[in-house]
Amino acid sequence: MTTPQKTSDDATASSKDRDDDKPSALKKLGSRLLKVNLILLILLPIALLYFPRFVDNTTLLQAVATANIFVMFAASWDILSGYTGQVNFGHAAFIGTGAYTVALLSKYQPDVGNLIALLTGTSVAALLGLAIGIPCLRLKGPYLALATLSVAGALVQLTFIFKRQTGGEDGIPGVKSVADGAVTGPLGRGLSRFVLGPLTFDGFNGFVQYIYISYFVTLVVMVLMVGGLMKLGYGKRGLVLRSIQQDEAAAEAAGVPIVRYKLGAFVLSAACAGLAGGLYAQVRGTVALDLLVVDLSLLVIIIAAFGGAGSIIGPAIGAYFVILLQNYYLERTLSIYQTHPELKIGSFALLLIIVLIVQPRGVVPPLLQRLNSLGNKQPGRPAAAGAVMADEK
Amino acid sequence: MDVLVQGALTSATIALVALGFSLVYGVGGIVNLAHGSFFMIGAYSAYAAGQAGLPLFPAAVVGVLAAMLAGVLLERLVIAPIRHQEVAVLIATLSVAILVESGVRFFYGGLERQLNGFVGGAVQIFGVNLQQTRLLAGIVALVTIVIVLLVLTRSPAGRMVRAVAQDEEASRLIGVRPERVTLYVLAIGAGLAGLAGVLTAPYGVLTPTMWLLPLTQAFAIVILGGLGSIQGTVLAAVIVGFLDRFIAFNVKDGDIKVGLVTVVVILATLVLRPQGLLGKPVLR
Repeated sequence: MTTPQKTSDDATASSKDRDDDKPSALKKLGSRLLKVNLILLILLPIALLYFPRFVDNTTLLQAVATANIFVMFAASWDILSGYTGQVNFGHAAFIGTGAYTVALLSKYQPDVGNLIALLTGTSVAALLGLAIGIPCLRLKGPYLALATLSVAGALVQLTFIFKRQTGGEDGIPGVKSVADGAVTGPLGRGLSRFVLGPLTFDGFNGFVQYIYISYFVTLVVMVLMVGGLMKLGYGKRGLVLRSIQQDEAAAEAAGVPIVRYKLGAFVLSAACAGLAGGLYAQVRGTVALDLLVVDLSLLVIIIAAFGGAGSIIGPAIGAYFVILLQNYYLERTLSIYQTHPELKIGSFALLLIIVLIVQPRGVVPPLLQRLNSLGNKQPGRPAAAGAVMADEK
Repeated sequence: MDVLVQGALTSATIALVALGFSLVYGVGGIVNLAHGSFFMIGAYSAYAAGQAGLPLFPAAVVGVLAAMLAGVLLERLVIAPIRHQEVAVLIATLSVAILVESGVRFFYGGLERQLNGFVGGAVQIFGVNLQQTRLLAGIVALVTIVIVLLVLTRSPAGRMVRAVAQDEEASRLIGVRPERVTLYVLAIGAGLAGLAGVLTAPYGVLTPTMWLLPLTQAFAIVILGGLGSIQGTVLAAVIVGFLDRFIAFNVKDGDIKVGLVTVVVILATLVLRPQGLLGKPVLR
């Protein structure tokens, strides 16, 4: 957990050095940030990849696998909402669409492979993103919030209407597992030899195998997605997306094709969420309403707001923090969380309210700023994302 | 005929929710995503009071008062510190809605609950059957709406509210305190939603997720009617109310499709006529 914070801190420091030779530095700043984050992006996954060799704790591995999924939820939310300021209150609609598509496929077309199912889920979610994105193009703030919120609510109703297919409140059990075909395939064998070294899957029972596989698959997909989104976000396109948030009219006047970028962000966000949702379905083996309801949308917002929206990496860190705290620590230490699972989201909602009132910028960015100013003995400046925006003006 | 009568009654109760939502938005610029929670708090408080042995009428009063108290607490504790950050208010009030939902789940469980004691009381005191509970709900809602509209348009207090809605700074210059007015309006809006919850609870079910439909319906109505237009809100409530009942009666499994209709109404309005039926065409 400390590695990403420290490295992002370096990123901020480098942006500060760049401040002196200003306007020409703007482009380089973006690539510089990207480079630092790339190092982080290479180191962190390797650490995570070798993590299971040293930690023989399936509960923790399972929690990290879930956290990987939530990193994708938060990062995909961030590319739309954190960057363009189009705050989506119904991200669960995309997540659930991906998950339900995968589950329905495995229920009615069991022959379809996992990868194809995932891609189908991604495409359906992307289509939904397009369908919602078009009417939402000119909406902002409360309008967009309620429109997206009610779309997700409508999807919940849809599962009741098609109760026979979707199982209504019970959801769809027995989704084809992520482990299906992965152990025997060449990729699975190679991965196991590479990562586990002396250990092999043969020695494990099915459950442990499944946990290792879900851990690695979620890790790989997560790294690819977060890496891609960060490359986009810290590049020129990211600046354009930010300009929409800052001043849409000015951006349009400057020749930015607003409609294309907004819609593109919407579709990309939806597709990534659909992919993550589909993967989550394969990892959990079930889909149920908890993948569609407002609680999930809010949890994603909590994670992103906590980690600091508009930086991709912030929400990613936030996801590890929140999910590991919730799924690994709290669930095992506080017995009341087992008897009353609804208190989990409740307590995080309370936490978010307090954070919003006390520190509206989220927890991670001010923390980075504090670290930064400590290291440089200078008055603090906005964290990485803020520096980019300040330069942009 | 069924549809007409039922539609009129349904319109009145959902207009009650939408009116509060619209007032709060008009006055404070606050989009309160916890508005549906007042509806739920009203219903559950009345249920709790009924369980505790209170007769119908005091239980209903308890429900409305609990909703108003929740409104005051929400304004003081959550909204006031972050009032001018639109998105923060949205996120915070949605968090409150989820918090309330998880609280209700904690105390009452996730199962659907019927207002058994409450309905029984209704039958004894007023001698009404279920259908007449609906009638009662519609009439009380209608009377309340008329009273609210009269207060808004005729009384000095209503003039203050409208002044703040028109121009917060200017109203401050003539000695109106917008913060105070916002607080009162939020309390009243919460009370209206709570009243709607109390009124409709006897013929609906109580669930921890019952806050979402009134919220989206209120939003659909406010969008359709045009933001800040009270007449538009009432007109749109009638349209949505009739649509609601029409679908419930004429479409198979209509009751669960109602939520879809509101979404269609929202999206269609936003695409076709963003300023709403009676709103002024202003750029947002």
